[in-house]
Amino acid sequence: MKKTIFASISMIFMLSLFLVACGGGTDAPDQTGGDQDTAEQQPVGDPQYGGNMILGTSGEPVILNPLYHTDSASADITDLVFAGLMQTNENLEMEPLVAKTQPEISEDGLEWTYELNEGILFHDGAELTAEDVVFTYNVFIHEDTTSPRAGDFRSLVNVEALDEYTVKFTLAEPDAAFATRVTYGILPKHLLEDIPVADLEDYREFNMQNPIGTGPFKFVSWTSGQNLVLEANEEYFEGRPYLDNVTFRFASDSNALVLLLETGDIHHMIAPTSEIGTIELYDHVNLHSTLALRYDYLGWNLDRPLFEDKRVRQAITHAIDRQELVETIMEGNAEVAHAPVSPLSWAYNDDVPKFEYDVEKAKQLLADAGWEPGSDGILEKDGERLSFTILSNSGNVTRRDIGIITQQYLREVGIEVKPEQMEWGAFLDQINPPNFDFDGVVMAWGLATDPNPRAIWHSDQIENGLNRSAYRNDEVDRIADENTLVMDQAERAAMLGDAFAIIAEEQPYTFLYYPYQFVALSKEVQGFTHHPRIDMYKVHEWWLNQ
Amino acid sequence: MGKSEAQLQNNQNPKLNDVQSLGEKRSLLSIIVAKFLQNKLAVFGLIMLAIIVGSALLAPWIAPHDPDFQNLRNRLAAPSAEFLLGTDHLGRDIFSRLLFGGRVSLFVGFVAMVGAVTIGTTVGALAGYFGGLVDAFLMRLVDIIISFPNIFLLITLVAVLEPSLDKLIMVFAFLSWTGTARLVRGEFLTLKKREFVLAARTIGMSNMKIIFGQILPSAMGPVIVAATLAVGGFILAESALSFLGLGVQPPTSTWGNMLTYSQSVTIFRTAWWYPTFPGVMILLTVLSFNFVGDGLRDALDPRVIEK
Repeated sequence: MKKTIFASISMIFMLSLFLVACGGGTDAPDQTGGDQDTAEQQPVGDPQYGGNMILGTSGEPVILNPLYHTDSASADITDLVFAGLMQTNENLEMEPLVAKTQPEISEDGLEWTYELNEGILFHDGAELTAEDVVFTYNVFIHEDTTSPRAGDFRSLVNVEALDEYTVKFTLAEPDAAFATRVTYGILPKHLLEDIPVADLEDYREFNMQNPIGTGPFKFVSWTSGQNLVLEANEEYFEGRPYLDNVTFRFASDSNALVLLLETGDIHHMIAPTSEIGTIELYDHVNLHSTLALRYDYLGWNLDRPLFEDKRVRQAITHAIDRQELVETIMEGNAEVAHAPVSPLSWAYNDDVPKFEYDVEKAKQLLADAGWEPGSDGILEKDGERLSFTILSNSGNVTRRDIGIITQQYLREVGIEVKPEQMEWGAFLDQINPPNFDFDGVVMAWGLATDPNPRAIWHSDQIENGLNRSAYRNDEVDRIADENTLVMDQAERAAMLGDAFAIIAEEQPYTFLYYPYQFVALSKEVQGFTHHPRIDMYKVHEWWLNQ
Repeated sequence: MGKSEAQLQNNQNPKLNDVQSLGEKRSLLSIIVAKFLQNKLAVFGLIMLAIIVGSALLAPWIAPHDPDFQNLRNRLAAPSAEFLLGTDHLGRDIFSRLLFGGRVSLFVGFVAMVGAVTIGTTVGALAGYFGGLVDAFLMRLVDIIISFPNIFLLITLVAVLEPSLDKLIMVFAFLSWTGTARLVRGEFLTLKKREFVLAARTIGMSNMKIIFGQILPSAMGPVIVAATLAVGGFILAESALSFLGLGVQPPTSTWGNMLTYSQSVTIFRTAWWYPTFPGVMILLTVLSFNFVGDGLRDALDPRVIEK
């Protein structure tokens, strides 16, 4: 009832302020089924060439080399400047790009042969050949490599050029996930072969000042704090991009971006959920949304005695009304998550233990685990209070709020939570190895196309990997090790499903939700395809209706 | 120096002096109060401050809701009978949060002021009274601290130390005593040459007793004014730091961090009450402190004569 009052009041505000009545309002959670435009499509003519498309972003890239970056701002640029053998399409299937066709895989699954398109040119005019592919992937398996992605290629033993346009990868053991790993942008051997592999990451002349790839756009300039400019690659092998230029414009925060979008100074931005209500009102902007390939979670540090007992972790999840979180702070733009796999993945397993909002059950589980109310209402056991901090990074409004909201939910069942914020760099330093100095942490994982849980859940990833929760389970370890040996997808999905069910039951994380991603796009922009993971997807097909 | 000029002026107006001083006998305090009350803005400021400080002190009894209680289903609700000033982005009552936030903001302001004034008065008194090397050393220290741009030094220090209430207050106090020190030193330089100081010395009073028992009471006027103005300054500084996310950490509310949370184009557009009220509270409080400070300056200055 209150909600309808609120909705109608805000509607009145909007009507009085802007005199527009396009549907939705602030309370429109159900508009987000799949990729859907919230505003009407204008009649569209044939694609036009020309124009400078301006994308607003608040993060600046770190390194413009596809083998070394770990941040999405850098990935956005390298996805435009470089092209890989294969790419992941919007349905998360592998499509050939530089490669001509799907790979030929030998019967034992150890030899993967890719045939390349002929006549693909680097931005400096040299032709891309099998030698360039061999050079690129040799960087990953070179003993001096500093690539953070080298772990993806542990099973790779050898890459060789069979002829000018054929490359053969040889694996030590069958690897079902290998198909998704050959998406890295191909580097030009003729420019980089003289650089020792150990120094390649620090080779600024290429990585920062003049990256040369085979992608649809060429690098022009990068002015730190202002913009990064790309121009169309006339010789792009999939056809010249319609756009003449793509410019990334850097702004301080999402508020600044929203205002730039309002005034028409930018054509494109990733819209934060909290500003959707405002962007919806802009007549000149379309909002596109799709379920993102990621999940948000509250991670627990299982090395701390408080979280040792899985009943405590299950009770915490029972005590948090995730449906309410989704409907309120996410404004309906998310789906409650139960397991570490996205519904978009072929390995998604819906049949996992679920811990719905149930305060009584939470209290019962805590009592079973031996926690009893102390004098101040906070649970105690052996003289220790059930009290801990939840850490988040200070730049992220939603995560900060989740910490504060969790405090109230958990107080209901007698758990004391102290939400804390830290600056991003210090935050990562504190939660990552070797420090692991946290109780609980609000985070999200952007998932890889391949659903292998190894990097996050295998116990050998605790010491120096991404398994920050220090999760240990022999069966999950076994599945993480063995699932890639199974080439049949259905069989592999069944295996992975078991692992996801075990993790969901043990609740090393409280899985929060799968969020939707919103892209605000000027109505001038046509030909956009919304990819659940890659922001700069098929940009050569975008065009400006001027 | 100030006093002697005042005397000169009084001597030039013998008539006024005769009529008033002979006509009625008044205490210094009553004159100060009368002068203060003549300043309408100062009285307005004092009343506002009384209301603000009073309601902050009585917050637990006045506040209609638990300031930290969230109702996610009632986010950004407009002002109504139940929620006088509306609710924030987590459905918390803004009126209650303003009351409790005021406690933190005023607490920071007052405690930092007491700290800064204590340090500043002591340093200024010692420098002014002893002069020479002591003076030179202490005043160079003041120069060094003053030469840093204040707000940047604050941000750096608070960013290095982890933000918390006590650290915030300490940083404020340790960086803001310099003005008071200069003021007090100036007063001491003139006062220490007066006859009453000579008299005190003659009867063998110790230096400390002379400084704090004899001279300081006479130098308190300008200090009180500076202290009043400083409270407003500290409240503003706390708001600024909290606004930048370096001040008091959630879920504790202060006026400054309430403003931070309302930093969103959508909130500005749909929920004007959220950024407006904390902003208005900061404005009113700081303005009131400045009015009161101005009023006190006039009331305590013997050169300003009752109208």
